[in-house]
Amino acid sequence: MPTLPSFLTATASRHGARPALIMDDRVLTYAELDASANRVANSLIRHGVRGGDRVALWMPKSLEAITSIWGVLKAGAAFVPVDPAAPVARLATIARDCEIRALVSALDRADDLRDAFGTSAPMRTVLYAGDGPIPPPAPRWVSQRWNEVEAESAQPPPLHSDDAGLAAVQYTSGSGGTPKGVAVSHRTFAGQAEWTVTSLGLSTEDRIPGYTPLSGAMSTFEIFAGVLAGATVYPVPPRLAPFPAAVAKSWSDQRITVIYVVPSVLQMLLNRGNLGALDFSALRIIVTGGEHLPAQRLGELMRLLPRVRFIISYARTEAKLRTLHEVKFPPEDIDTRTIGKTAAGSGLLVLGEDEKPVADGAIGELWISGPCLMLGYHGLPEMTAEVMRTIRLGRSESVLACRTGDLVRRHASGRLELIGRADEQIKVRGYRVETAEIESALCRHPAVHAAVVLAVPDPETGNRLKAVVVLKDGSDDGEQTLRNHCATELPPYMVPETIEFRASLPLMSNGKVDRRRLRES
Amino acid sequence: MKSIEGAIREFLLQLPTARKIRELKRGDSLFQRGLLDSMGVIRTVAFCEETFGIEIRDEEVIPENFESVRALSRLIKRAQSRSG
Repeated sequence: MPTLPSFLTATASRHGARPALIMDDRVLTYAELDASANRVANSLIRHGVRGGDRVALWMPKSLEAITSIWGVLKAGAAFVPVDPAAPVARLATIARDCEIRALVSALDRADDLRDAFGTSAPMRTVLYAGDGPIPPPAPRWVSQRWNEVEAESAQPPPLHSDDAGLAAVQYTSGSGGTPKGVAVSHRTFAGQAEWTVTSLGLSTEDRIPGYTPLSGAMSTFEIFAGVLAGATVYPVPPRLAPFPAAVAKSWSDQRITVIYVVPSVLQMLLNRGNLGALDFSALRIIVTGGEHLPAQRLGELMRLLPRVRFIISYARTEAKLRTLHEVKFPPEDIDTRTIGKTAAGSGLLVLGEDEKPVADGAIGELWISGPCLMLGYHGLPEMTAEVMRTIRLGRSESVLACRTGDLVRRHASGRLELIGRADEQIKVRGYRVETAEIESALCRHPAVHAAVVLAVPDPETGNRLKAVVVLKDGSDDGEQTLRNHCATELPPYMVPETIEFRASLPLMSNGKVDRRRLRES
Repeated sequence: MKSIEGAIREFLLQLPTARKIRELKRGDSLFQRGLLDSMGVIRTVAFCEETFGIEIRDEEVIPENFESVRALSRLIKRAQSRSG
């Protein structure tokens, strides 16, 4: 299996003059993207970044951000994408957790970085996108501005050929109270991209919008599969992204051919996108997944776009298989719960609590095996060993598999049906959220005695977060104070929209909080 | 009664994206400060429709109308004159 930079160099040599990225009015051809990525790589290498080092990205989606991902990979390092909307405190937690060697950020975040890291920053270098001087005083790390990066040599740096090496650490919400880093190899991303390009028939003729945040696992669709296919990616400018009608119109104007977004974005487009008035004649495929899409909403979308193929996909950050299940028109009985076909070599196992296969028709937990698996949670060997285990399939056969926490049922027909979660993990606008992490953040506030976070249905976004809080005696802090407190530690999508105060929480006989009673009351 | 701009300002400042922002002038860019993400826009539309008893059309939910407190207030006044 090739390493990821070979995708870019191969496409650049075959289709160098074709547009790789188009954003606002800027076009970057494949030759230009390849050269810019070399410059970023050479800058990082000159500043001491070596193979296997981690380099974080904390900046809004931009051509510089995407170029930097390729530059980090070409330097032989692993990229660590951090939600640009997350507070700097979360970046600092992640940066220290995986000991980043360098950071790529935007110039208007320089003050935040200095405030958050002070004198104990793990990174030795920060590359800044944007124009203007770096505000004083000088921090402890070496700063480089983008015009200096652009003055670096465009010669390709030495190639790293270890396809089992680390390519990225993707942080996801952790049930232990802090985010955990999913370490992924080149081989795993490359295999996922090859499967995606082949199964969807992606080519140089495709135009793909880049809507998903680079910090999300789904963005590898536009980054790696897009480049492997030689397609043109249109990263959605952050200013435009929150506006459904503006996004839909831009996709119509760009004659987008393949869309891959989470169901909540499809719902946003359905509710406010004015889709019926727009020309989507170039659009051939919509892929969606990552959270449940109500069948009725999918039906509405299918009726609006009758010539488009609709595909439901399933993947985990820890297991990058990207299964594909095509929903058939007419939408009388729309099946959005099937986990579809996947690349050869990936196994979908339905196991009981004893980690042994259950009979067809019975509900079990989905485990995944094959080359799509993560390397492990970064720096957490015990937690990795809890989810990645050797599963015995027969007398002499066994495989390494990763538990998903998703409950499924395999029907006699072979159909694999997604039933729900085995734990408290939820999805909010496509983001994976462990309520325990929000509860920990709430409990770090001095006025909070206990807190429980629940997802409640919301017509616009699918789910919204609600916290139920018991304050310590004598405290009278209000909803806004606690929300502000959460916002300094957590990304905005994890901040509860409503906070309800109670004198106590309902308990079950085993002493745990009775979440069902809270949800129903 | 609160002014339209005052009510919008108060609403925006309690969004989770407001974080360290304590003050919002009527011309300040809501994008520059990272205040409006997709959730923020959805909630702002719902807030304006409920608070001012108006209907904001889909094609009006575009960056130009959400540029600043002043732009939002103009959008609301336009919607009010339509229904009134």
